[in-house]
Amino acid sequence: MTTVMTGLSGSLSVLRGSSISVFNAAGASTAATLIGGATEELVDGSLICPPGGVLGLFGQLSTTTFSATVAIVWEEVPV
Amino acid sequence: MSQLLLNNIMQALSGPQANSDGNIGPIRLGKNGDLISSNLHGRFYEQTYRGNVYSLGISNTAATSLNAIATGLTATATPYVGVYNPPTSTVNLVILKAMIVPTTIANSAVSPGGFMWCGAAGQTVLRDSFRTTRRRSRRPALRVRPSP
Repeated sequence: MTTVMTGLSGSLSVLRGSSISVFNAAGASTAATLIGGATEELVDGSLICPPGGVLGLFGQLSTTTFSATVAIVWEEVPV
Repeated sequence: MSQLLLNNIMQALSGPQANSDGNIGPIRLGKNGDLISSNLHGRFYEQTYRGNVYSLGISNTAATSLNAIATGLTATATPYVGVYNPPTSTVNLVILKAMIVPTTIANSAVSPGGFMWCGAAGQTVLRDSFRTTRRRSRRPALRVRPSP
């Protein structure tokens, strides 16, 4: 969550949305009323990062008002 | 193999069977000729056991403004979580799952909105920090596999 993509050539492209939706603050005034959503996406091989590729999950909006534990699991398959 | 080959078509048996350990028996079919199988172990067991499944996790860390698409997807971008596969790598990184679990939410917190997968190809000098912190799932927290 704090690793800057130093050395990135050009810019990333948006590939697709994720099913992860951690909370919706649109109508909430306190943390207690924030609505939780799915915290895990079963990608199941539908995204592949080839040699020379980089892949990451980004939020749509800028925020610094929450903390999270994040994880990613992948399999390495010979090209 | 106990299956019969008739006119080059593999034959199998529909319906339940009562096999003992060590018996040789036919593959089971459903009523529509569908091949019936079941998981012996967990979904990722085989590849994890063979040491091909890796994971990366970061605990209870505050979001930064650079985690957002809205602040740009250039070299200052900072994904919530991601992977980099160096060009000299001999493998594809096949993503199995990802998690973002809120641990602390401030009152009147600003939502990150939805989350998007973003990527780029042809990267040759991207910092290798994602890769150096990955861990083989088979040996959690015991060994960091060196970069190829």
